[in-house]
Amino acid sequence: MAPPKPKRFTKFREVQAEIEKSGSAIFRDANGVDSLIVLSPYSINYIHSYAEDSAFFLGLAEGKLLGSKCTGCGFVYATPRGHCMDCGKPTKWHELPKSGRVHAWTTC
Amino acid sequence: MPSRPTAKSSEPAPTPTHHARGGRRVFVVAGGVTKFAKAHPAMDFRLMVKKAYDAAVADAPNLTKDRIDGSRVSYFSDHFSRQLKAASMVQDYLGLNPKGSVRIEWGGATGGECFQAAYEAVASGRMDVCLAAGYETMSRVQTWKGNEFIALASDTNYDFPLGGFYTGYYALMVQRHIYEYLRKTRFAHVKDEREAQRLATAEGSRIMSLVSVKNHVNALHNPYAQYPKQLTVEDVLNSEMISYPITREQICTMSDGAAVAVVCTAERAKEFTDRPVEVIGVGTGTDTMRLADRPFGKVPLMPHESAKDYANLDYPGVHSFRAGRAAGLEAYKMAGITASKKELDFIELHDAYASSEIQTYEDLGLCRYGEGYAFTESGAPFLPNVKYPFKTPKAGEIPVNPSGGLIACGHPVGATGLMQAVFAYWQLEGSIAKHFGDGTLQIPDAKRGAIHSHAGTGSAVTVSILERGF
Repeated sequence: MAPPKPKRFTKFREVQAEIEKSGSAIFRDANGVDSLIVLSPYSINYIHSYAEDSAFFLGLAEGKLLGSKCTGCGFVYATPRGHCMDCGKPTKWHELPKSGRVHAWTTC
Repeated sequence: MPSRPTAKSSEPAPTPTHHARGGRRVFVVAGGVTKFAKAHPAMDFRLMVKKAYDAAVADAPNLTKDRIDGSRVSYFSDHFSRQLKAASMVQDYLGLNPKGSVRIEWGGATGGECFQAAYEAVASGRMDVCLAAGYETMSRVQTWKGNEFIALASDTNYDFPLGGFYTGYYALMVQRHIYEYLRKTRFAHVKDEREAQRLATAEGSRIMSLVSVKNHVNALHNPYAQYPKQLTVEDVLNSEMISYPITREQICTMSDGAAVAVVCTAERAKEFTDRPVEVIGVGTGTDTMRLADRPFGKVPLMPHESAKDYANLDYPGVHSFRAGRAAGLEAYKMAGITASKKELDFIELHDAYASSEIQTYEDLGLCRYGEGYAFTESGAPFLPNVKYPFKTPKAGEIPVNPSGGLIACGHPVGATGLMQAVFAYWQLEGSIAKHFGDGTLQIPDAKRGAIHSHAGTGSAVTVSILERGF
């Protein structure tokens, strides 16, 4: 006996729902052509190093807000970077005050 | 911020950032797009590009495959298709092997950059005829995951963890824009700070909604558009709040789609069409990836501006796109344009958000910084022959996004900048009625237009100027 013919879906929304449920679905387009669509899981654990930015995040754990100060021109970066984007000289870690004014905001 | 030390006078002068030198003259001779859609489950990226390619060459019968010297292929994110070297597969499917090809990626400006890469291949003398092809298949992941993939185009140490959501970045940028240009002007008389900001944001939201209505309504006449809609300002304001103050109808959508354009030399152009369109200017600009690193400096001036216009303005901060200004300046210089509003007949610009369309009016010199809201209200960027549910007294002065832009056409990233190139090409060719089956959006006698593609919170922008070459 021939196996039962799987259902065809004509709406993408239905395809998405069916894939979540059973792992696959068949989409039938306006010309009657079928496309096989399957759930294809993908997961990855990156080994993300904060590298030269690490002191900022380690500082947070100690209640410190660290920026960086250029050893060449003295410019202070509130979001730290290892080298000055203006003069190119290395920067040093620089503790920032913990109060300031809000420049821009949103809620999302 | 303290001012930075300036260079000593004995040092050699710095090299100019923007040369704006052209090479050989370059012409657009064919273009094609697929309809942009939420999902094209029955087409993978290769087939979508092939359909756009077939549409393009159908208009230019002499443009057979053997006359194309190579390609530049663009898509934004490897994550969306989970297929590396996908550009090679496009080249392969089109049967263009073993000719030269390279993949272009530049965030949201991927399509605009691809167009300029093809331009450069021809201008430099490396190719006589180059295909620029782009696509994105964003339906292959859930929308929330797509938003995460897009947000990975922000600094993953500092900015991505704070929301990890692009609409949030643009919302806070426009909040500052509203503060600079509405709170400090129209609402300067309101003493209570909280009330002044509330009023200014409401005013900004209303004006952003005019842009959203314009683009959705224009798209009613564009069969390629994903979301044409007859909307009112109230509909836009009442749509779902996504990131304060930006609502659902002020944001473009994720899409599946492809677009291609073919560029070539002046000699070859004659073989393919008697109505070629010349690329007379190209410009690109960049800015820091982290918003907090954007400097407080001076405005690079357009000819109609003077330093005293901006005596009290810290620029760009997070309220304006310095990359857009730099790209515009370079492209205008190369094209010999000194008054963009007068010398351009239309602009297709990157309105991923209604807010960025208003910010971009200012970047591209259609008005001064700070005048974007009044410019929108004047009706200048609207079409004179399209009916909007409000008055647009100066409609037609400089139509912006006649096609409906990203907000209404969709934004399959790698295709978007090329879609703009194709729509601009059709405008200048005078073939909107032929391609759209409706001539409403045709700018009468359009001679010159600009396209503008924008990446990652304004970290990169391309501007190209196209002119009728017949």
